[in-house]
Amino acid sequence: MKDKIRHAWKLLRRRPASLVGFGLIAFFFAVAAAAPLIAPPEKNSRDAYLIPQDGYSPDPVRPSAKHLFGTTEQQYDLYYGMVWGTRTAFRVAVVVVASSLTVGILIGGAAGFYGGWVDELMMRFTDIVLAFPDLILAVVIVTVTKPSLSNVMLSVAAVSWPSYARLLRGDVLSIKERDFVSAARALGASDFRILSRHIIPNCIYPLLVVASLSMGRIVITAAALSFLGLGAPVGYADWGQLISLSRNWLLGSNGNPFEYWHTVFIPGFAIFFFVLGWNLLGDAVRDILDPRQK
Amino acid sequence: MSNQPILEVKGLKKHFSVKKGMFGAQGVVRAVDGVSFSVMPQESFAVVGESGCGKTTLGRLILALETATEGSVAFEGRDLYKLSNAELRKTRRDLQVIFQDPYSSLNPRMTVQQIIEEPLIIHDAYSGPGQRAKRIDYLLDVCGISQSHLTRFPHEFSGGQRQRVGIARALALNPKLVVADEPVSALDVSIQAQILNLLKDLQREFKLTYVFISHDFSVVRHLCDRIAVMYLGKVVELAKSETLFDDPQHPYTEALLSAVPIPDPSIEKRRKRILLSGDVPSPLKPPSGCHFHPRCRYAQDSCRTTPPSLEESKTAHWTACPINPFKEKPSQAALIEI
Repeated sequence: MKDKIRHAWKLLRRRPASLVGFGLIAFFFAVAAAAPLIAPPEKNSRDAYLIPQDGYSPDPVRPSAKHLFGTTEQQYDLYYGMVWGTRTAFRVAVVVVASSLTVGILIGGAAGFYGGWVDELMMRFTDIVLAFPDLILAVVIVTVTKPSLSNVMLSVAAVSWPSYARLLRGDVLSIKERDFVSAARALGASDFRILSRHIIPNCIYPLLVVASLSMGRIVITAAALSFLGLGAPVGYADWGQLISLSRNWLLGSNGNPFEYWHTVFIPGFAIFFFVLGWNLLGDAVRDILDPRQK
Repeated sequence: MSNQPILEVKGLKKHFSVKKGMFGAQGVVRAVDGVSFSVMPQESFAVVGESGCGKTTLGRLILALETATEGSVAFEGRDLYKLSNAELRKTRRDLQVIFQDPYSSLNPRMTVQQIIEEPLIIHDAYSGPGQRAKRIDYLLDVCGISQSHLTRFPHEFSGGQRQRVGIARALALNPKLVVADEPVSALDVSIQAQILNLLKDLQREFKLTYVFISHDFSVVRHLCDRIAVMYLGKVVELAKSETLFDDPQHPYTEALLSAVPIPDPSIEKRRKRILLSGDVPSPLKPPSGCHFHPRCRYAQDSCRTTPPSLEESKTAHWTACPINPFKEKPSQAALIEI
């Protein structure tokens, strides 16, 4: 294990881009972990994810000593929202990727391994889901199920699994013809063992690379849903939500287009760097997981 | 040696249907087309033929990795295709395989230790404390793999070393029959000799029966007691190794043997090669009658229409050629012009 970590670190160091990605994600992770310390919730708050309000004035207020990143409309504290929103971003990304990966592996793995009508049935279903534009289908699912953060995660997972299933099925089809799979069968291994020990480990890595790349994309989709008002309730710490609060202030005021810049730029850049971090890390993940790179 | 054959193949057929184009008619490839033979315990039985003659499919059928279209494979008297899944998986510990390509026959994500240990785990064998480690030690020792290689991955090895790992895996459960599908053809010639000697030693040590699939007569001659020659899914000649080399009865065998170099330069210079014209015909559209007739220099009219059957042309020597062009002359001598 120690060797593996050292090896991963060595590969990471060799590529500065991966290092930047790693640094970005590490930074966001640290912020998320330290949220109660660097942005302590108010004493009487019911839910730490609810952003404290400083008055009810509709106009955003610029950054000041009291509000480090300023406030959005209705005086939600942007700094607090950003810090706790990091946790939301990680939670959405991890939950969605884990659940869509699980569904994708089950469906793609079974389809590729068993072939025949199982394959036909599962892949045509996958095609149907893929035929809808991602965002539209997600919007429909959230609207039908009632807007909330967990339904956003559900809907994004529901549109994300088909690409994993497709990718895995193709790899399973090619791997299952390899001699070591025949050898395992000749040894009397069960289907489950052949799939879990021989086939999946040999085609999971492209999937994990795609997964780490889609961590970022998922956050964007979730933010888009929040921006459309389908995500977390107003005042919940979520980056997409914070951008949606800036919707009316994108153009600034007459003669000063950047008057309310902080309401757009701060959550916007956070999402940008979060996605960038995962994308850069995705490449590194590929290198680290490939044993031939040793 | 008992008189009960360990493996009995009867009328084995495997047909693959192939679609030509989107709406095209279904074609049928008769990869294995009515093959019968039996193998005695501790015998080395070779199946020889050009690529595409169905010998690999035959190997997979014997291992029940494919289902046959027709016919049966009986291992120790029990038809493998009639066993339940659970029974078949239990029987598999006696029935092992060594593959041609040592690069694709080992799981790249498993260490050598995991690869060799897997059969023991699957069949819950040698499960007492410390017994598995002991068994692995023993296998490493007989197959010539170093202890220090246990924690390494297959890609860190050369072809020959990988093949040793594949052999150790096949022998882990003390099998009775090993199907070796071109076990040395992917290796360097010097390594080939090493692996062949290893296989020979292991046969003695483990009392193994081999079904040895190869395209190379010189490899087979070294190791095997009996040889079956296959052409387009059928056995055309089956005989004891020495008799087949000294006195081939089928024109195809004659041509194949004439292509084997003789390791003596003075004789080699005078070796007459029989060049077969044309390629192996498409197995989708095999020639009528005797499949070999378009390339046969002894072909007669009757060959074009009547498919030959395997007949005992001499004692314990079976040939599928009714013309029998070699009745009078001993052929190997005739091949060398003096």
